[in-house]
This record gives sequence, C-alpha cells and structure tokens, in this order.
Amino acid sequence: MPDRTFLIPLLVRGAFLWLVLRAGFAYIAMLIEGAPQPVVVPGPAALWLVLIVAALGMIELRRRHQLLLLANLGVRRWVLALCCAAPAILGELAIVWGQPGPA
Amino acid sequence: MSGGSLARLEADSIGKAYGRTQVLRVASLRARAGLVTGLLGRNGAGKTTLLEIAAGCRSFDTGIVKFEGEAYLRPRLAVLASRGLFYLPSRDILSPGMPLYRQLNAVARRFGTQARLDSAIEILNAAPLLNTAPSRFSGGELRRAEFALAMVRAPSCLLADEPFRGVAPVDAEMLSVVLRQLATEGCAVVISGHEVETILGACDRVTWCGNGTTYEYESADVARADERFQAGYLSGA
Repeated sequence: MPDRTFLIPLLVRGAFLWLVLRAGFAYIAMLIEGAPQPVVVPGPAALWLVLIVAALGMIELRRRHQLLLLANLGVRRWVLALCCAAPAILGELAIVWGQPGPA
Repeated sequence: MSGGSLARLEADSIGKAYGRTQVLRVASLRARAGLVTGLLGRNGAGKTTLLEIAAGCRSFDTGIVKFEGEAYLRPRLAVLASRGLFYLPSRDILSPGMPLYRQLNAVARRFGTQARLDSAIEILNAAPLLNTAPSRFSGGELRRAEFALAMVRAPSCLLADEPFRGVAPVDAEMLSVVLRQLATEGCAVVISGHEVETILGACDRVTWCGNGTTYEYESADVARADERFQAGYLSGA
C-alpha cells in the first residue's frame, strides 16, 4: 500500500472523481429518460464508472509525477489503480445495498 | 578496487529495438556492491534505454535482468524497488506540488530509515528546501532534493540517469560525495551522463555503450587508456 502521504489524497481524488462522474451520469440519465431513480445504474455501467475512475486516477498520478516515485517505494501499479478505484467501488456497492429489496 | 565485487544488479545480453531501429544488440550492465560504475556513450547509444531496462521501467526483446541473485524476464521497478533498488531517472521524480519534507518523510516511513533523514538533509544542504514544493526548485536544487530522497531510501543499488546534467560544479561535487558515501555503505551505484570528467572522476568502473553493445573497463584510467574508447567516445575521431 502507498504511504498515507500519497494514499489519503489518492482516495479523496477517487471519491471526488466518482461523485462528479456519478452526478454527470445521473443528470444525463434524467435528461434522456426522465428517470425517476437516476442513482441506480445497470451493473455494466457501474463497472465502467469504476474503471473510468481508476483510469483517471492513474492519469492524475502520472501528471503529478508520482507513478515513478511510488514505484520506487515498491508500490505496484495495480495496487495504485485499486486505491484510485476504491471509493468508486465502495460507493457503487453502497448504492446497490442501499436499494430497497423486491416487495 | 576489486573487479570481482558482487554484482547486485545485472542486465545481461540485452537486445532492444524501437520499430526497425535496433538500439541495443548485446548490451550488458553490472552494478557491483560498493562500487560506482559510470555508464558512458554517445547520444542515442542506448544508455538511458539500458538503465530503464535494468530498472524494470522498459521491456526488452532479448536478455535477462538479475537482481540480488534472482532472474527476471519481465522485471518491474516496484518489485525491484521493494528489494532495494532505487532508480533516479533523468526527468523529475519528485512530485512537483508536494513539499519536499513530506516526500522525504514518506520514503523514510516506508523503509524505516528515519535516522538517515537528518544526515541526508545536512550533506545535501536541503534544509532551506524542505518546506518548498519542488516545482519552485532550480535544476541544481531539484537534483540535490532527488539525491536526498535516494539517500534516505538507503538503497542496495542506485541507478541514476544523468545526475550531473545542468548542475553547477559545487552541486556536482556534493552529489559525488553522496554517491561515494552510498558506495562506501555497500550500495551498487550506476551513473550515466555526458559530463565525462565528472563521471570518470566519480566512478570506479566504466561501462561504455556503443554500436548496440557495451564494453567494461576495470577503472576510469583503463578506459582512458583504451584507444577504442578514445576514438569512439572521447574524441569522436
């Protein structure tokens, strides 16, 4: 795992990216379908959201010159991608679990 | 210096092509414990490529990389770094927006080397830089800060690409002291660059990279005396 100096900003950025993407997704869904529950997205769409958050997080790490530094600290890229995506994964799971079950 | 020192890192018989351009055919690089090896060669000879391959930052077509006795066909920097390697690329390694002290502290915490923080800061005169973000550093300050990072890491092997580039003589001297200290501690050091006199003055062994292959010399004096090295690199005649 990355040191907390890098981990905390990584998680915060991941959460921010996920919220922005989620909000954008919900807004578009509402415009197109007038969906009553735009928070709920199909499984594949949620997976894409997670992947996009991970990819954007990695791009941001590269932009900040932190990929090489973190590699020098022995942190593998898949661990970093997972850290970037962690807030999105948790958020999507929370939404799924927060939905009321079938009557 | 002993020519038979333990090779901590060995990139052996490396071949690498970019498209149709064969940059390296059969090139080897050995980083020996307690010694500083200078990697020299003309522009485009493949020095950086060879260093990147040895550090696990670039794939290669043929050959093998061995680190601390273990062989890797697809080495990764994170894996090698967790076993003691530190790679200083020619481009910036520090995060430009994060104060230097936080980055040094992160390295010290990760590897339990807090005791080295003070000495690294003192030797590299990094105290005035600690609370500043690297984006505000000059070229020389940036290199000193990067070396402080390497020193705090206490690596068993350090690969530094062009550490003296754009650095004032007084700073180059400071960096040479750090390289020597690391080597004295048993670290295997490899440095590359075009500052011939500085590098030959700082290193114990020389690896000359040219024509897709490498030639090893027992010392800087042996390299200087070699006619092929003189003609192919020093004078270019």
